[in-house]
Amino acid sequence: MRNTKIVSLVMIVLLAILLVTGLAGCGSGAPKVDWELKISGAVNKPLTLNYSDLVKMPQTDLKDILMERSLGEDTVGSWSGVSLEDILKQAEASSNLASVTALAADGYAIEISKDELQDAIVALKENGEWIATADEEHGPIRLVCPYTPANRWVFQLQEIQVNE
Amino acid sequence: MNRQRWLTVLLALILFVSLASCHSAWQGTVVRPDGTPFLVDGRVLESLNDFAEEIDGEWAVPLERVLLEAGHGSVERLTVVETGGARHDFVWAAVADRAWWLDDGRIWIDGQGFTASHLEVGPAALLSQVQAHITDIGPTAAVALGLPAPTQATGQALATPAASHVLLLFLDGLGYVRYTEAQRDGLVPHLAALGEPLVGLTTYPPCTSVATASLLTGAPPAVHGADRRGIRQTEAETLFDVAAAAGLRIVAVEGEALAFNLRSAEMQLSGDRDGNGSTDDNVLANALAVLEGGMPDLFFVHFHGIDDAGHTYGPGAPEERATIRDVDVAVGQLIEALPSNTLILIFADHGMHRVDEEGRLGNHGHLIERDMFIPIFVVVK
Repeated sequence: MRNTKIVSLVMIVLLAILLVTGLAGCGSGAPKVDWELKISGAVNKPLTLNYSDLVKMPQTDLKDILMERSLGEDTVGSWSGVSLEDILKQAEASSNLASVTALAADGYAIEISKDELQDAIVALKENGEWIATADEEHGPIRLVCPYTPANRWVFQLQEIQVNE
Repeated sequence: MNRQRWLTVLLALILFVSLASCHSAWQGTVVRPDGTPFLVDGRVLESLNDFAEEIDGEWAVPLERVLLEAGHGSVERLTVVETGGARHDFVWAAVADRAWWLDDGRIWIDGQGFTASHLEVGPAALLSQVQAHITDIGPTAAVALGLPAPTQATGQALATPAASHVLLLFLDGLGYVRYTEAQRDGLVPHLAALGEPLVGLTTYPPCTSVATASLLTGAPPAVHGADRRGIRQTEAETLFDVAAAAGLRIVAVEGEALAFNLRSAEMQLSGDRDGNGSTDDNVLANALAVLEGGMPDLFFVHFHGIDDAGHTYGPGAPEERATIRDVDVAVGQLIEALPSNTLILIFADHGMHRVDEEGRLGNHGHLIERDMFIPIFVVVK
């Protein structure tokens, strides 16, 4: 009789622990990532956004867009993340913005003209999965410029410089 | 009982030995440049596994990777000699992108399988005339500035007097063969006025990122690690690292994007801000602006237009010829603006051959003459 009680108690405690850990992992479900994105150059308010700041901002979806690769076959995928326009607004980017220079952690850099930035996002998810965990090498965040070839889709994105 | 146990152990041993020797079940040979045999078996293919791709459900290594391992720098013809003695000749430029060494030992070229006893290689004609390598560029610049060559450099410094400044002028995609054609057609008067370039050989695969790593480290891909397209940085010491450690000023003017990490240099990108479809005018403007502020100790300027036009229109097309002309004029303007006592190294990273693919009429990346040979000018102003 006493044994049954102990077993039940242990079960309840176990369930409670499971429930607590389960709930803790809920919410956005975003992975914990140590990463910063700087917005610099011709802006009134230079910004440093960390990964969790980006997770909390309103998310924009780009559905079934073509990724034109210079290496390998082109692919179609869906991406979601923070609209670049929102980020630039927050940094009070110059109204004379002519281009941005996107810099990656591995030293890659590219200048992207204003026209090419249409509907661009700083993507956190690719095909519904966090890039940070699903494709670490190309994450945790990636600039996605939907109407341009993939050399403008800068992965390991670390800084966006605004040029006039 | 004991006998049964022994029998089991024996069977297991036989199984183990036969499995372990699976790789050596076949053996082929590539004739090396010096005529000696280079043996190829499963273990050799396994060592090239990083480059393997799935072809018709089988793992296969691009045949070029094996030819390179056998010491071939550029290939004109390939003859597959079958075990029965039959010979099959191929012009390498026509099949290079469709030629594989399969995991089961067969050679697979253009949809046909061969069980080869050996492969004979006819080298590119220019190979006997090579005077310099892309890996010589970093050491040459270093020596001219009184610096040590990058630590892992295997390239040799080309003969040149000491200079107070060095310009590395990078003409993307203007291979040696294309340069000689352009010179013959009168498209490059400014370059031609500098004299005959050296016949240079780039590293494999002939593409911008790999070549940039090779020229800056002075080392081949097996050493600097950028041994295929898509690798954007190297751990190996670069010319820029050496110059920065010595306190020199290094400025790099690039096109819209960096093909390779140019750490240790002040970097300037040159996007097509005027929207005229070319970044070469932007590169020139940025480079001239840098010179107005004072020539850096080490100046790196990269024109991308010839490569872009070559990919889009194909080598020899009117648009590509016009671009070569424009870049030649830009080179003339840039040299004009340089201070005296500057060592000028002008070079390409790779060449370009004609293709007929959707969206492009030119490409590079193969162990062929048009892709692998580059002009290298060494001039002191």
